[in-house]
Amino acid sequence: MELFQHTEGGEAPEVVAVEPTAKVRTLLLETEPDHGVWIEEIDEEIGLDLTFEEVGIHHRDHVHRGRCRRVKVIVQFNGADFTHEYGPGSTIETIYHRASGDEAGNLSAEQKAKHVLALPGADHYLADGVHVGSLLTPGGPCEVTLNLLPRDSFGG
Amino acid sequence: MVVAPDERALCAHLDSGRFLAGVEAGRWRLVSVEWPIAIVIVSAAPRAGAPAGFTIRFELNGYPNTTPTGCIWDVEANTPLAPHLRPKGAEVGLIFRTDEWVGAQNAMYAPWDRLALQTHANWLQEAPHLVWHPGRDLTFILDNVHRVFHDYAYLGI
Repeated sequence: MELFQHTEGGEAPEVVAVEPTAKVRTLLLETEPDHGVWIEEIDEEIGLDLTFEEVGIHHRDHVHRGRCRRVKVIVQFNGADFTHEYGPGSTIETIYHRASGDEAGNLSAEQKAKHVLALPGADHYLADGVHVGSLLTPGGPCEVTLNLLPRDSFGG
Repeated sequence: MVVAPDERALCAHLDSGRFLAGVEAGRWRLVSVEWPIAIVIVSAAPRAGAPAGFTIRFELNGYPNTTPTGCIWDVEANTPLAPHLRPKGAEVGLIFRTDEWVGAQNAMYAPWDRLALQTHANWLQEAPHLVWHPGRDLTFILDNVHRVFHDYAYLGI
């Protein structure tokens, strides 16, 4: 079966082929024995010596492979910083939900539709399905800063 | 058979995790590639009387160095989608506009479309997150189109 594997250092997932009866550990490289694997949006790490079918991972599910067990996310909006910790397989959709909600940006429904998350200085907005752990710099701190900003307008 | 670099680049992007993840999530679906034309259906949020998605017909000569262009398409009629069947709403209505704009029939009024960008150099400064450049891929456009089809202000047809 195929999985969408997300790792730090790149926003796009990679398609990897695995056997359902193989151990989750097979996703790890030899150089990263201390890394973990997570199912998308689930903070709890998967047991590496269980098989994919034992942990309920199916064809074309999304998994995250990385070294950071938690990711500190700092969302900057209107001159204020809002900080929260997430599992590395948390998606931008989840982070946006909190960042735009009443615990942070407190945007109206209309404003939510007009705002997005982006890495500072980036030339694109982050897609909903990007894992926050993928935004980390390889070997760097388990921390990422995001900007909550209005979408570009092109009416004229 | 020798495949030209532009077609080869598109094929690589269609095989990428980003594109395939969108297919798997039901966000879009590739209908066909008959170079340089690619036809993709992009899903839309449920609205009364509106379809579950809209078809975009892309013209991709020179991809990705040349900015793509694409229009909303009626597959059965093999023509641009008639105005009364196009998506309506603030931003989506602007992108798939039906007025006298020169590209209304054949292009999207957006910074990722060749025809629109040619006449809006100001977008390079005003909409840098949405402007096409050769480092982007078709999924960049599909993500943006998918977003406006699921926008708060999308009204249906």
